[in-house]
Amino acid sequence: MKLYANGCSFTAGNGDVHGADGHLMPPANYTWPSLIPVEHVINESRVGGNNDRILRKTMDYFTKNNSDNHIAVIQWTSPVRFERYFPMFDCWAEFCNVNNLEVNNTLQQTKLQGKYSLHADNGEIISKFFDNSDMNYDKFNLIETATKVLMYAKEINDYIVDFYKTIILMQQFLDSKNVPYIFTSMSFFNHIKDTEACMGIEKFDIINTNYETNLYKCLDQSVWNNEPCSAIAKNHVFPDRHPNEDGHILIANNITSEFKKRGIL
Amino acid sequence: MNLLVNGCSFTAGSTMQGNVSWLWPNMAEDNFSQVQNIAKAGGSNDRILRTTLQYCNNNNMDDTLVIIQWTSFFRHEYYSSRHGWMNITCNVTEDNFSQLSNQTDKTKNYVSIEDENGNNIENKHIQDALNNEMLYLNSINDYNIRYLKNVLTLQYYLNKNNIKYMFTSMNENEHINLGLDAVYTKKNSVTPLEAQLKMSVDQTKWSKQSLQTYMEENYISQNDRHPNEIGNKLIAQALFGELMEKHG
Repeated sequence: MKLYANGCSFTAGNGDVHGADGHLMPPANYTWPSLIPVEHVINESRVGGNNDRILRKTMDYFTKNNSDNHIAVIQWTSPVRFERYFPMFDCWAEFCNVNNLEVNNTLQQTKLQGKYSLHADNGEIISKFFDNSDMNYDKFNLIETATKVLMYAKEINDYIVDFYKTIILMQQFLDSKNVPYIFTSMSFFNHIKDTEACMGIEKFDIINTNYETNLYKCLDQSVWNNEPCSAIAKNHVFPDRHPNEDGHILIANNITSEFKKRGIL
Repeated sequence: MNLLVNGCSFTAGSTMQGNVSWLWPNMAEDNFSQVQNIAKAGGSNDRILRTTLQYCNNNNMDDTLVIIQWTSFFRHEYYSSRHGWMNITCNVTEDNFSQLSNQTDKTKNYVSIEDENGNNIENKHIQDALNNEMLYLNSINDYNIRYLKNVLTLQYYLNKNNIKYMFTSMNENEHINLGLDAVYTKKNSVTPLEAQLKMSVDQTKWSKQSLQTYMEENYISQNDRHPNEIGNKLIAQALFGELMEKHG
């Protein structure tokens, strides 16, 4: 049995976003997918990952590989993260929200600490093009644009609408490939399971439109575990709230138990 | 049997002509107990998905066929707690597709934003953010991905609820069986994600051609390329013929 896992730093392992060569860090070997009792683990999660990337990489993996003898766990992450394709550089630029915005440095430093950070599959793309672009594709402009769209043009409702569509596409795709799967998430903000434990805790403080309500009805509740990774790891976390090694063991136990409950493991 | 149709001006009638009696959905009135047309001129695919879900969830669909006419993927919607659903049109001519493939001069492209009543939204912050989003963040590929996500979401919903349907499109660029890739052949290439999303679309649920192909050269005028009465008749004949083939 092979386990395919995809998510963000809660599945990839946290720590520095980039290695010394500018590449995004690969999943760490102590993370929960490697603790699930299967023969082989494919973990395509990445620090700062977004839901668009999770769908893209998962579809790519199961299109290129025979899905027989696979199970999958998808750990959804923050809906305000996203990725866009840049034909000029043939790369996917990933926009991740950052927590802190400090304005007491130089203007350049302040801009770089904007509300999004910019990643790419290939770190060289960032240094070759986005860092040095003279064509308005520099990091400043892209981060500023993503932030302006967040602040002025979109509401959280829009990000949630897109998140629900992404989940629906993933359901449809994995069902079509006959891959048994479980959905989980980083935190209650991204956990859609309609259970008492999840209601009213760490939810976006917004009024849902009918559109989100109608899309929500399309989500298959039965494939979700009951709690997000942040709740499962509880107090076994680093100061930045990512699960520590004990936290990863708890998450692995929870996911294993969910698979067993469904007769998949 | 009832019929629900949704789309843009090719189904609603253009803003100039309105919902005239010879519009193709109106020609179906003899064959259906009721025809419900919720299309809107200038509407986006986001709107088509949103309003179709809304209609289907609020009405008994047991005895209703659905025709969805998808439209240009350069239109979309964002929600605003102040303005409601904003209809955003990226005014991009075919000559300027290259600009959305991240090449040179982009100054000719601009975004127009309307509220649900068709009033222009003049908020400078919103305009600035959306213009920059079109110019710097979104490529043609991103628009296409957004479109395919809408198609697949509605496909999933209609299948899940056992609602009989047929998809068609305004022109070949958006038609899944025809030229969805045509828009790229000149300027751009399709990413593996788009190819994989397209593979997930059920092509058997689509009409053979787009409305622009069915109407041939029968448009209202050189300045208004919407179908005229003959064009609408040709569209109606083709679509209802195929609908009967698929659903009896």
